[in-house]
Amino acid sequence: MKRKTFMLIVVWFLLVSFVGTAEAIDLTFTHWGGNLEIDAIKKMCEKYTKEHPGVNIKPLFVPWDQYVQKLSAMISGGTPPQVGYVMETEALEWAEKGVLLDILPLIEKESDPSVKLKNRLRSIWWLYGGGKKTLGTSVAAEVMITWYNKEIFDKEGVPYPPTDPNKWTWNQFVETAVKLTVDKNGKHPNEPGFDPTKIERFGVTFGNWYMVWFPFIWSNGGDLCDESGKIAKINKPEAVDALQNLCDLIYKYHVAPTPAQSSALPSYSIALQTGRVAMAIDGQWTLQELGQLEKQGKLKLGVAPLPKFKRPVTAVIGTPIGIYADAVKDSDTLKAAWEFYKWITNSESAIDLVRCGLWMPIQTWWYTDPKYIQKWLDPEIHPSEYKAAVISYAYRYAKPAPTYYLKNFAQINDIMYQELSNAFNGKVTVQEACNRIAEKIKPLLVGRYDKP
Amino acid sequence: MGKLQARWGILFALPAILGFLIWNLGPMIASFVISFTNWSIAGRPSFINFENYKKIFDDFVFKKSLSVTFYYAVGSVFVGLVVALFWALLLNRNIIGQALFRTAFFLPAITPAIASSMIWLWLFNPTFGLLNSILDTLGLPPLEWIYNEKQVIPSFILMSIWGVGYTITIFLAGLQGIPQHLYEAVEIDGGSWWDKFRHVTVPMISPVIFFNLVMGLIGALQAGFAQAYIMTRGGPNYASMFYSYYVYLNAFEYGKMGYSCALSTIFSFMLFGLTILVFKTSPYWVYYEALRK
Repeated sequence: MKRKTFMLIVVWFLLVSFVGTAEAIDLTFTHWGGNLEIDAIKKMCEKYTKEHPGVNIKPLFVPWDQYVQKLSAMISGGTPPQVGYVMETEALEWAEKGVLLDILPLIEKESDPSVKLKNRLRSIWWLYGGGKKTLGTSVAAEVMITWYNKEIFDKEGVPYPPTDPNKWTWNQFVETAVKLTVDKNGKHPNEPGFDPTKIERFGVTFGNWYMVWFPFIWSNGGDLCDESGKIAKINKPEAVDALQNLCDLIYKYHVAPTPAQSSALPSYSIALQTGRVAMAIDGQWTLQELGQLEKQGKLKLGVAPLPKFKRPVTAVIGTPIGIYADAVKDSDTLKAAWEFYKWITNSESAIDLVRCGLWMPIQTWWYTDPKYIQKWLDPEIHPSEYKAAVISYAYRYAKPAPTYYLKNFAQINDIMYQELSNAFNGKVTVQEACNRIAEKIKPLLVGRYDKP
Repeated sequence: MGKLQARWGILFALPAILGFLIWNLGPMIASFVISFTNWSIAGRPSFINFENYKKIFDDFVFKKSLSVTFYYAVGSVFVGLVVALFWALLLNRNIIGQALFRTAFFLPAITPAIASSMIWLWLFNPTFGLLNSILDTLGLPPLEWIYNEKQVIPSFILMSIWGVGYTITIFLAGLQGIPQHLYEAVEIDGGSWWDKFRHVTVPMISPVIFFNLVMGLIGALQAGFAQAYIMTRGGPNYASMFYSYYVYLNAFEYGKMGYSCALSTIFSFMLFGLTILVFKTSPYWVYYEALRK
């Protein structure tokens, strides 16, 4: 009798566990990020698992600089994640090769408005296959803006930059920067005796990368290439003038650091807070660090749009989240992955990351509906002018960076970086650098993913 | 008995043999095969025969990175050999603290490349770096180091000399194998320290110089990845675009795994040829005591 009962219990356990595992679907979600992002994503996955019995989300953190290697190993090894971040430089290529799922058919059958094409910012859709397919959107819509330290402006008696992007002109920007730059003897660049090798505080700082080059090139009416993505325009006057103006900030007006001087500056947040720089042209995501400094009372933060040449415009970038095709061949897994995808790319689920300043939401109602704007803004973190200077600005004037559509952009970007660093090091003129860029990228300009 | 010993011998060598086959030879063959495809990590590869190799010859970055890599390798190996031999000669003398000095010189060689890149990034800093402070104290003008395209490779050569610990150790071993009676013979004939060095030391350690030269060249030609990745991104103006870094860029940032494998294959053949060349010229300058007839 004892033996029989024991056997019955064993059989019961086996049945239960078999039935149990047959029901629960495991989804792996790969991602990168700093500590805050890792914690937030872990919490989001736990929340989703709790609220959705039968689905178990396993977040898998992979450091950013190993992400491509690790994902390729997972894909070739036959164990790709179901859902995960995709490296911007590889996203469209992987989509074209069928590594990522085209979710347009799923969107069309879907009733949930948060995933519909017109309900997400136009500029952050990753389109390929001549524009007829999409792998989804970026998980956040990060734009470039001007951060500044209000206390420095107050001290020098300089009015804050306007929040209306049509009123913040380049000339006004340069004048402001000149008034805010001082050398060790307290002299400004336009005063006699100013020593450009002993600058105490720079009026503005910016990095040498595509998210800085492109908004200004576009604002001046130029571009890297034509609409078809096949003919270079980087050496035409509109693009060259914009970049030359950036260079002039360093060598003509002495309001920005040389690359060598930049390397001696701390991170933008610390540089702003300690008064080494008055303004910083950087991405919205820096608010995560700046917000912490504000909360500690160490920084009176201000934010403004980018200065314009001819028209206001900023660049937008954001990591896409995609569904990996090989992992969702089974229809139940696909259904579970799709539900999770909709949830994780609904900015409401990531409210912690939105409020702390790291992510900008992607559904359009966050930019137009006052209820949602209130949910977004944390008064301890977002400066009072954030709504006008960032939210409305991004909604109206954000243009996607070339990573969203241009083929071979990773290589083109490296060539631009090498040639332009000569110009930003003061060794060649911008025109020379752009001529060389145009020559070298000719064989790489083969078109766009979103156009046939 | 011999057969049994042979079997045990092979058994003990098996882990190393298997390791070589699985993690060295296997990937080398795979890389060679992939170089004939247009694989980009994702998706299916398809054979495109010699397309990648044809593209390489028109690639200006390929040519530039070859010249940068050879410039660095020749510079760092030859300067490194001279400096390492100098330190080895000093460390061979019986003085107090000899063990401490030898350890101190060896430590940099075991510092991970990434960690040392971060340290040197600060040393090279034109505004705050220690190197420019030293120049300033000596009354010399500051340099731009890794921010100047003409100074970046010499800067990296300087950085590599900091890590000659291995080379010094090998030289020390070689120096200690020189019989004392040869030095006494020179003294009897009225020779100076230079005669001792030129006629006894150098020939007797020439096998060691040879070994260090070959190993040094092979190592230096493949080096530079950490420096380029962490410190300069291949700039300024491609002046530090080491070959290993260019291979990485193509494989993992441009998504051109096939092209990257072609680059690796060509380079392997070059290294192979270079090694054969050095070996072939060795009878003319390497002296093996054991081969004296």
